[in-house]
Parts: sequence; C-alpha cells; structure tokens
Amino acid sequence: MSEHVSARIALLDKQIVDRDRLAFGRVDDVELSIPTEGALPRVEALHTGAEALGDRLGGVLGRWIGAPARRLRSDGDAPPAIDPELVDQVDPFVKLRARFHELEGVAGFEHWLARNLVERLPGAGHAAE
Amino acid sequence: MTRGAVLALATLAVIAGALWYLQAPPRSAGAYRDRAANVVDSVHSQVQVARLWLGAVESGEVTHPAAIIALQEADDDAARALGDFEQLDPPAGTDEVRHRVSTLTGEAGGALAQLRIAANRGEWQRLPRLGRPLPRLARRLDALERETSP
Amino acid sequence: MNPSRVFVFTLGTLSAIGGFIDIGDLVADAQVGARFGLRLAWVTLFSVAGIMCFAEMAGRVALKTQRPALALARSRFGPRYALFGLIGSLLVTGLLITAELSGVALALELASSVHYLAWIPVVVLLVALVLWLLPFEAMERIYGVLGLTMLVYVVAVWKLAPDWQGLWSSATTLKPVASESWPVYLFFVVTLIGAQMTPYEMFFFSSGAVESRWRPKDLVEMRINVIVGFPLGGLLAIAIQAVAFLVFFEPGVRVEHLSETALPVGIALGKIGLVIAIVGIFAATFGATLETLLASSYDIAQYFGWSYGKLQVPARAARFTTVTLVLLLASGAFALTSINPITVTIVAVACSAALLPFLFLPVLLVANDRELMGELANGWLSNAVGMITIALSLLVSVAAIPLLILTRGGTA
Repeated sequence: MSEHVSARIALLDKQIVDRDRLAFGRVDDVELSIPTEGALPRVEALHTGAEALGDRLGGVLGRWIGAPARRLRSDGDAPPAIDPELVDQVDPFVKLRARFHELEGVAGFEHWLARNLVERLPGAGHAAE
Repeated sequence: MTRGAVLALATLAVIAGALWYLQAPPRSAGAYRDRAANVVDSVHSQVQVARLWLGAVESGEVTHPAAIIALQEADDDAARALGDFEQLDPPAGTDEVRHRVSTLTGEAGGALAQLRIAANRGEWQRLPRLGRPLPRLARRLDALERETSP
Repeated sequence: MNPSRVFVFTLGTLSAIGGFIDIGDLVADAQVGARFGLRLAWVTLFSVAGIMCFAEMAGRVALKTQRPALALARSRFGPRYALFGLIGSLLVTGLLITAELSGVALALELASSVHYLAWIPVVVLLVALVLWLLPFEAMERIYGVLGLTMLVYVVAVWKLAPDWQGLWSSATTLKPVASESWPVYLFFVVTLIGAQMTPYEMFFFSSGAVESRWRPKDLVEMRINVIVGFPLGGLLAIAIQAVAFLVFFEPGVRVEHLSETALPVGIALGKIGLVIAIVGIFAATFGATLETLLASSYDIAQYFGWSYGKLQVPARAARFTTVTLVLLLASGAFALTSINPITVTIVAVACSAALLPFLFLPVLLVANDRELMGELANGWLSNAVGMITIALSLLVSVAAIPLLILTRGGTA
C-alpha cells in the first residue's frame, strides 16, 4: 500500500472479505514496523482473530477474549497474519485478492468447524466451493 | 485498588444487598400482615380463576386439555403460596393472623385440589358440584384480606 | 393484484409480532389489563412510536450500507464499547431465548395437557429444523401470517360487548387503580416498555432487510413494513390488555400463567376462539424464539466479522452456524432446569429496559452520519422522536432494576 492512510481509521476493526466477497473476520490488530528511524511505519501484517483482539484490548477483558483462541492454536503455528500485499481495497471494507481458503493459518477455527462439524450435517454444503 | 476492582466489588455489594432484601423474612408485625394479606390475595385470585374456568367448561367455551392445565396451575400456586407463608415465623402478636390465614387458605387449597384431581381423572360432570364452595370461599378470602392488611 | 405483493409486509409483521406479542408481552399485557385495566395503554402508544422510529432508522441504515445497524458499531465506536454492548444485549436476548422456547412449550402444553418440560426438546428440534431448512423469506412469511391469528383478541374485545365509554375512561386515567400503589404502577410501566421496545426487534428488522437484499430503492417498502407492522403489534397488545381487563379485573384475578392470557378469548368466542388463540400464541412465541436466537448469533457474528445468515450455505458460515446451535441447545438446557419461565421473562424484560438507551444510541448516531448515509441520513423528525425516546428510556433504564427489586417483580 503506497498511500498514506491512518491505520486506525482505515484499517482497524474493518470487516475483511476475500476475493469471493465472503466475510471471515475483522482487522483485529495491525502489525507495524519502523524501517529506519524517523521514517513512516510500514504495515507488516494484518491480524485477525479473537487472540489478536484480546491482545489489543488488553486487561482482564482482553485475556478472556483471547484465551480460547490461544489455547486452540498449536504452539508451533504463528498467530494468523495476513500479508498486506494481498489487500486489494480498504473502503468500505478490506477486500483481499486471495480466496479465504488459500490463506494459511487464518480463521483456522472456521475451517475446523466447517470440516468436522457443519459439513457432516445433511444439506450443509461445502466450505471450499 | 484498580478502578475495575472497585466497580466489581460495588456491583457485587449491590447484588448481595438486593438478594438479601428479596429473601429476608418479615420481622415486624406490619410487614408480616402485609405478607399475609398478599398470600390471601393470591389464593383468592386462584379461586376466582378456577371459578372462571369452571364456568367456561360448563358452557363448552374451553377445551378440556386447557382446563386441566389451568386447574393444575391454580392448585399448585395456592399450595405454594400457603407453603411459603407457613415457613415464616410469625413475629410477636401475629399468631392469630397466621392461624386464620392458614386455615382459610388451606380450606381453599383443598377445594382447588379436588377440582384438579377430578379434571385429571376426566370426571367433568363432578366439577360443578365440587366448585360450589368456591364463591363463598372467595368472599371469605376477600374479607380476610381486608382485615389482615396493616 | 400480484399475490407476492401481499407478502411485502411480512418482515415488518414478523418483527413486530415477535417484539410485541412474545412471551413477555403475552404475560405482561394480560397482567396489566387484569390489574390496571387500560390505564397503561399510553405506554404501548409510546413504545410503538419509539420502536417505529428506531426500526425505520435501523432499516434505513441497512438499505444504504447493506450492513445491519449494529454491525457498524464496532467500526465506528471501537471494539471496547461495542463489546460491552454485545455482552449486554446477549445477556438480555439470551435469557429471552429460554423464555420464548418455554413459551412455545407452554402453548403446546395448553393444547395437549402434556407437561411443558416434555415439550422443550421437541421445540428445540423444531426450531433447529426450521432454521436449517427454511429460507429466511419463507420463515418470515409463515410466521408473519400465522401471527395474524392473534387478531382473534381484537375480535374477542368486540364480542365481549364492552362498555366503550368505560374502556376509554380507563385508558385516559393516568394513575393507578385504588388497590395498587404507585411503585407497582411504575414497575409495570417499565415492564411494558421493556417488553414492547425490545432492541432485538430493531436488529432483527435491519438484519432481515439485509437478508432480503433491500436497496435504497426499497425505502418505501421498508417504511410500509414499519408503518403496518409495529402499530399492528401495538393494537394486538392493547387488545390483550382489554380482554384481560374485561374478564379479570372485577373478580380480582392476578395473571401469572399463559393459560390466563388465553382464557378470555375462550369466554368471548368459545372453543374455536381459544384454539385460534393458542395457535396464535404458539406462532408468536415460535417466531420470537427464531428472532431472539438469530438476533443473538447475528450480533456475535457481526462483532467478530464472521460470515453469517442465509445468504450462503451453512458450511461457509461454520462459526455462525455452530454458535446458533450452541445457543439453542444451551437455552433448551436452561429451560429444562425447570426454572419458572415467567420469572425468567420478568427479569429479562427488566434488564432489557435497563439497557435500552445504550442500544438505541449507536443506531441514532450511525443514522445521522452524513458521510455514511448520504441523502438517507436522519431528518429532523427522526432525530426529534429519536432523542425524546432516548431521553425517556434513560429514565426508564435508571428505574428498572430498583423497581424490580422494590416491588418484588410486581407481586408486592
């Protein structure tokens, strides 16, 4: 993203949809890096999921929100992060160039539930269509 | 202490206070009479409802399943109101109140139970006769309520 | 006349019937009628005006943004405020799911004399099947139409050939009857407002607007839904109060059961009337179960940004589907603890009254945002009515819980 936008207003808490306009989460946190001293911060990644939200909210509330997600994530995996290069547009929602199922590690809970619970019920359809 | 902790403690204190208030038994004679009047009023209400349902059954205005449920509810509510009341210790000077309320509401409860049993058994023809004491019971309950009110 | 035009009104009717004739209203309206006659009818008028204003606002937001009103809460007010709003409304609406479920079971009990607890698992299964199999519009239409059977209450008022002058004078007397105290009167004012102006009506209406894929060109249709649906709900509420007054006031009956809500229709119109009333109660509580359940899971899904609703297959909205099923099962389990559904209802309604202003305010703010709404932003009328409603609901909110406790739920 080359434009200067306010990450807080343009990105945070925005709905994220994928290439097929399927919603799957919100921008719960934004990871910034400062390449050189005095330069503008760069967006390294978009974080989504209850864990990221919990970390951002902080305090007791944040811990409660993030705990189940943190426990479900296996220790080896990194927390879900979206490469900002995948972002196609930011207004009125964040639209990605990829399909939701192609993203690694993102919304794992959704995948897991779809595969193990919902798809087993008659008439539920399939997640990756 | 953090602001959050203070807020949480205050909320808990309020909730505890409310629960205490709700379950605290009446201590003064006035409060006891108030509670007694309430019980009488409640049983009076059950008797009146039972009368209305009996009338509706006789006129064929209601279905039997609905009437069975309604008579069960009237009996249950009256029994519970009396039961809760009898668990309370009467403060000084209110023994007479307790006795009168217990006796009359017990009598009413008995009549309601008989109606419930007959309805459950499907003995619909017996209901009018079983319901004959109800109007007088209602009048007596009404009078007792007015006398008992502080 | 194109038959599908008849169904134009069903979203409004469903939202209104679910909101105005759910278990809370069925019991509260009959209680109020039995103890106060029509002296609290003015509360219903106020509730109708208030909810019409906010449902229209929420509907307009949905038309313009294709997002339900509360979905915008997190983006505009931040996750912390939106989370408190979510927890608050889940608390209330969650309790109501249990109460409505029990209401359906109680209606079935009345029809069959089989104990209501035995019906709870059946109702849970029925609700799950309806949600799984029926598209949103079909649900809307069936319950919108079945709920109209509640009009039997209006017919019953007529049949009881009341002293209309007496009814009018009762409706225009703004104080408690001699045998009731002011705190109890005020408690019932709060209860009626809490029961009739439930935020979930508003959220359901706006989520339904999105599911029906309404666009700004459907503004008139949306408004017709509001104008037809909610006043109809108010009319039915007043009819229930009136028949309860005509049958129960003089004998001095206190209404505490659904059977007592239905009895006056039997007395007025005979067995067929009673049967229709029971069908109506079944439909109304079933519709309300669907509404409260979906409103809760929509709220959660919208907060976290999940895909939801019927616009895609369940497998593509797995978290939403799971949460909905979990909420349904949890509510069923809670009902099976044989906790008194009427008590649950009264508490839920009082909590709803306490939270009203906090749930209305975001809708008012979003609807006023010119950048978002363009030419569909609030005009002076919406803002005037909206602000008066919020101001009055603040008073109600402050008084709700204290009155609940002081009057012991109106039984003092």
